Amino acid sequence: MSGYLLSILIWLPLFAAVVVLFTPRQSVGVIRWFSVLVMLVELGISLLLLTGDYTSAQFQFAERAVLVEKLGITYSLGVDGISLWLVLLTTLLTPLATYSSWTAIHTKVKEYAFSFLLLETGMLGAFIALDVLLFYVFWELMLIPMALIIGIWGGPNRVYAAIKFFLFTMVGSLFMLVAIIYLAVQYQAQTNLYTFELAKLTELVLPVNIQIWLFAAFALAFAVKVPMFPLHTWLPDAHVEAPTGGSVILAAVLLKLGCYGFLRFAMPLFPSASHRFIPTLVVLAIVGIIYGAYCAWVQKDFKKLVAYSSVSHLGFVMLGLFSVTPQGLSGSILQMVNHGISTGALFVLVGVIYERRHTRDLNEFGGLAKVMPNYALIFVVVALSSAGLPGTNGFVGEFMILSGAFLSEFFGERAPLYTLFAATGVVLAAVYLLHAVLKVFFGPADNEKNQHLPDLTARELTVLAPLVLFVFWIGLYPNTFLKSMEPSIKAFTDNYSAKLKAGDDAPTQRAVVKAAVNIFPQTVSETGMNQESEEKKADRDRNQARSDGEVEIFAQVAGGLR
Amino acid sequence: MEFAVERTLLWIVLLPLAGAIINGLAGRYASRTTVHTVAVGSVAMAFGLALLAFVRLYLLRAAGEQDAKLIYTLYEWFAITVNNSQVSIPVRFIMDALGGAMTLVVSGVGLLIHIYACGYMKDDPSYARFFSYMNLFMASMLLLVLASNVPLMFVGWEGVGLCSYLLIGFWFENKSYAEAGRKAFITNRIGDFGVLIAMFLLVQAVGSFEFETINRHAVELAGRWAFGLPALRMTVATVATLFLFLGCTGKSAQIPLFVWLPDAMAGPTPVSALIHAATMVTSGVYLICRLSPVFAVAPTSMAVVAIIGTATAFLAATIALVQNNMKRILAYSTVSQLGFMFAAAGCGAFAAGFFHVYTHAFFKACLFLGAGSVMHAVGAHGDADIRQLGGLRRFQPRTNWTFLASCLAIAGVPLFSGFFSKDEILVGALSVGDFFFFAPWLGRVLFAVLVIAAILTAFYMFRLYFMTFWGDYRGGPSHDNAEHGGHDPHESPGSMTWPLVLLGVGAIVGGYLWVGALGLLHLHWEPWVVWLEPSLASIGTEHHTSHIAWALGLGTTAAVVGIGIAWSWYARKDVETPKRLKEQFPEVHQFLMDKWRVDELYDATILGGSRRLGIASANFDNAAIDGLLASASSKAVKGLSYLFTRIQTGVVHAYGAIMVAGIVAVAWWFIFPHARIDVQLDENGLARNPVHLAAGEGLGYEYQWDIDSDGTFETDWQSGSKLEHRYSIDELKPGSVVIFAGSGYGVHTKQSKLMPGEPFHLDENLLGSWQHPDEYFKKTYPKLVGVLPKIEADEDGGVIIRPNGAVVARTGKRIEREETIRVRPGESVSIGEAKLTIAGYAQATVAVKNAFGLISRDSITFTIARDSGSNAPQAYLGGTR
Repeated sequence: MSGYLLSILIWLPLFAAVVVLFTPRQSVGVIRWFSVLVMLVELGISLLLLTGDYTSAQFQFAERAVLVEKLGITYSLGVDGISLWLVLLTTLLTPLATYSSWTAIHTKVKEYAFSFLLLETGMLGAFIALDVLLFYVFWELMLIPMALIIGIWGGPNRVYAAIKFFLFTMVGSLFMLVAIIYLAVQYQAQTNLYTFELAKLTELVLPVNIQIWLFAAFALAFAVKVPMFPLHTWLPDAHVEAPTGGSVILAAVLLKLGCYGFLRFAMPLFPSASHRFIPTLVVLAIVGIIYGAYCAWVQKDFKKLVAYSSVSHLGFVMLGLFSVTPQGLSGSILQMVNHGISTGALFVLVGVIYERRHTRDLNEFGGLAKVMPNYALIFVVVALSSAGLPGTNGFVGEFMILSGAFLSEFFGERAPLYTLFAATGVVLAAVYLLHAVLKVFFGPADNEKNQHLPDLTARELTVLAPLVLFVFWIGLYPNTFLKSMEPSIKAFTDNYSAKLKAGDDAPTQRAVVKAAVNIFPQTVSETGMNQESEEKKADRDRNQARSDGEVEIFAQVAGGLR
Repeated sequence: MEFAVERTLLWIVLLPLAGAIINGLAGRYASRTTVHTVAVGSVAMAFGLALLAFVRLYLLRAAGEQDAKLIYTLYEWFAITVNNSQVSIPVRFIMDALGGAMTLVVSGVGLLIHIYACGYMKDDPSYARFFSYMNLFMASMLLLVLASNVPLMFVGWEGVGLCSYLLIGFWFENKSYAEAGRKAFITNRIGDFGVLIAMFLLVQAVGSFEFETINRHAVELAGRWAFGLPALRMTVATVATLFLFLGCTGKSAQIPLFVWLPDAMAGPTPVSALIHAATMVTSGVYLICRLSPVFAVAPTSMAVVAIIGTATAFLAATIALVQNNMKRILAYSTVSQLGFMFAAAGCGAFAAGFFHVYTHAFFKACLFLGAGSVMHAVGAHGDADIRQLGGLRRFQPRTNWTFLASCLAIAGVPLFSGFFSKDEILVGALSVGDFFFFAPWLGRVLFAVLVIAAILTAFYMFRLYFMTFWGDYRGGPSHDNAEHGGHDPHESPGSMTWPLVLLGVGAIVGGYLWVGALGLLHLHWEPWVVWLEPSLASIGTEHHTSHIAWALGLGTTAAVVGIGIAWSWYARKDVETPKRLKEQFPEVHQFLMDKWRVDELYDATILGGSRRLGIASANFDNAAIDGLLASASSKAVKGLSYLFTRIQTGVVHAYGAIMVAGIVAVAWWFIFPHARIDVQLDENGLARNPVHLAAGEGLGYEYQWDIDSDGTFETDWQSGSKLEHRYSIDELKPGSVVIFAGSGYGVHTKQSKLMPGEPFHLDENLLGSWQHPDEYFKKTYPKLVGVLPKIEADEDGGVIIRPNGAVVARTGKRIEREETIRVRPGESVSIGEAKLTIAGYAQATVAVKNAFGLISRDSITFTIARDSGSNAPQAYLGGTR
């Protein structure tokens, strides 16, 4: 069975979704329990992934089958230390998100369950797929249920938000599709074989000028998803309109796919191009950190505040990725998980009071700490973890990312400057989160509507408790998570640096060597040779040998040629 | 001793933490007795364990182990990679001389304040929550003190900030209290940002986060330019310590980040005593002492620390002169005293600065608790206005005596604890001398300002004392929200007064730790300094007797003068001096009342600016980004579709007209052939022999090729649109030549048309390209130096090359000036070992005929690189070798 573990993981929700389709629409309870149960089974199955051997960078539980031989499309799956935690994050958050929207969703429960199950297949597939085209299929597959979730069960302006979400993501993705096809064509041109397999495509050495375009296409798709400044504008709308469960999944998992895309695809496939884009992308990431924080600070809508905080937090994730240092990358992955947990919990918490008060206007609240003490306690804990308080998960992630940025060779002498600016985000996070805490929980509970709000229910506690557990687990003993990432991260940085060194100017250098050889096939005039004395001839031969040797050396320096 | 004393370090931190968790989760449902048993019990046990560990440490020292320390490692928290090596961040506790002393102060004073709080908070509905926060604070503070590395210390550092936030805003229903808490947290966070950056600087330079390792490498830190930028003229030590000090100004309320501390008085009084007087706010001084070797090698930073400390001491003291609320005066007093500590640390008198931490913990905790006792007595909630108090010594004898003792201590009256520490600070400032080599006079200036601040201190403390305890009772606070409305003041319960007594005794005798019990006989025996010696750096200043005399003299005078003025103005009845002064200088009074208007300044600039920036960002996001990406793009699409719908008008003539236009366009396309010729080029933009030519394809097209564009077509009409042709030298266009230069290591091209009669000069750039960038190749490979070869086309399409006196450097052989050579396009020539190839232009033409028999033509010109296939004769310039 373990041979097909990943397949089971991916397809089980889809299967369950089909089953849901054939369930009578009136049996709401059955549908709800069934879907959560399936998701819990998924969680159980995904826990089996922990039995893999993550001391090496090898993909675990790998599966490979050829789908279309002629086009080299394969069904290849695998998890390593990088995707493992994102898969687990997905399987953990999906049931929690579904369970948290138990009472919020009354209409079309069947379709809701169907969408969530379908979404889970899409998300897991995207994290696990090792074939670029397969990844693309899953990537697009997620889009539809998510757009539906926003568009059907969302707030008053839901259709606008859903379309905006759909179009933004779609435009980026289409560029990526073109790039994927071009990549396969390039591979065919060099090897006479088509392939979409990541492992093979990674070996391809492309001239930088081509890489740049392909990277730009991939980066656009991923940057929209992350979202990076200034492509984030769909996010606040989508979050504000989406139902709680949708917001949780959107923030916790979907955004991570953008970051994951950079890490798994865009950077390894196009190291030289990504290296050239890094200065720009880093600045965008840092602008995102600061800008997102400032925008969050002045929002009146609670959910919008959390949405903008995501922009800020994901700026950190991107900063860590682009530092290409071991701690920067580990920190990024950890921070993806952290953001999933903390922001996921924040959205659940916002949902809790929205369900009670049907408003998210911060000015409507105040003094809730008195009325809902458990709620306040959990909220403050989660907010502080989101603000990166030491001892909670956020600190470890941000610390690793910032130290990675500070020590990054790729940032050169601008590294301290980047770090200084990014670190102001830590201060700003405290500003906007405590602003929210102050508005909602402190002060007198003078709004009559707030005075008799019930505290957290058992169901809500069940959803939040595991998240709070992870807040401290990751904060206090992050090695549980970091150790298994290490080999994959090391492989990533080693490959990246090596390919960069070899590949950065390889195409041009290779061209140079060829041209030199072709232009001067025999470098010395034949006519002159007759007159040479034996001694001189020997001397010339030596020179010639050296000259050849030098071409050889250059060919090696150019690297990646053979 | 077999049982591991080291393990106690862990429990010193864990016990209060456990207390916090228990009370935080279950305290709400438990009785008050249970709550304070857990809270006080856990701190008491922590104190007991701290004593145990300290004794162990003391015994080790007594046994001659100079560098004795207790270390306990729990597990690896996480690790980062610095310069390709792993730097682990363990959860490791360490107790050395400095940490041991601080642990005792924190847990001891903390324990007393916990006991006091049981009485003070007795009636508060959130009793458990209060103790949960207090215990959490103890855990964080002890972690801060005992952590062996900077990140772990940072956990405690931010932890105490968090507790401060929670406790200041403890009565959160009052919004301004909650806001005060937030202000404290955010101001602290600004400082923490500095600590974070400093940490990275240190780890980059040292490769470790451990305090011990960093201190060991302090000298190296002083020898490296920060950020690797020599232009900055600042060493890693300087920049790192400045960033650290930013953190200290936040945590320890120094200029410019001191503004949160006075507001922090919104918290319950035990909190003010514990966090905002005795322990947390001194952690900045503690941190500087912890890293004193690094500070000691950064004189610039030290000067900054000293100046900021002194300025804060003065500024806060002036504000305290006119304030009327007990706790507010004490808060500014704390800021001022912290300034003294930093002044000492900045002058290299680390032991003196830290000694003031210790004495201050006693007398300031005692003062705050005394203020709490007064407030408890008169039923004031939050703070008490001293103008409404008076005569309390009759009602509260214990509070009175302990308060007086502490006032004498803080004023620096001889033989009270504050005297010893303040005196040492003044000595430190005087002795610093040449350590500030850029300003040797700085120490004396600091000394003078500190003496003035000391006078002010003595004055405002006794103003507070006399107005509160002497004279007649003025009726207490207006009793609208007070709990004890109308009653006479009364002495507080034993749980509150006993801690006062203990702290008061500490305030009196604590100072003898500096001179030791026998200090009066053996003047050079200073147990405090000796004890701390292994932990603290020395900047090697000497204490001259004259310095000590000046400090003693002026310090004592300051205390006497300050107390004297206060006595003459406030202890005697009906003295009008203060009122007169106030009326005479209303602006000054108001300015001091308004606390130098620093808060207003920050509100107007930083806070207001940030807020406006936030609003601007949000507006920008709505208008510009969303407007551009979403609205504008959707409008564009809408506009286009509107245009398209306009075409669908339903008017048949319009459809007809469009159709006709379409048909004409299609017909034109079909009737007239469209010739287009392309050639396949390599990376250098050159065609390769054989050359691949391609013409644009079309329905029924036929092609005819004229590969040299001489007017005669070489092929017949054929259907293939592609042609492969190998150009011979004869087919190259005469007169147009391209030059390549290069050798085995690469090729550089320079293209230029050579016209007969116009000599062509190889330029410097091309010469440069003959020289390989790599040093090795530069030396071993020949290059042309001197005048460059001259190249000229002749009438017959050949090229004449004159070496023009160029020298082949390696062989040193000069090429004869007269020697010339003639080559044809496509041939190459060697000059020395550098090669020059003359490539040729070619022009190809294609004619295209379509099914209608109409013909069109297109030509293309391209340059052909030599290929290995055509071994045309080559020439060699420069004689034989």
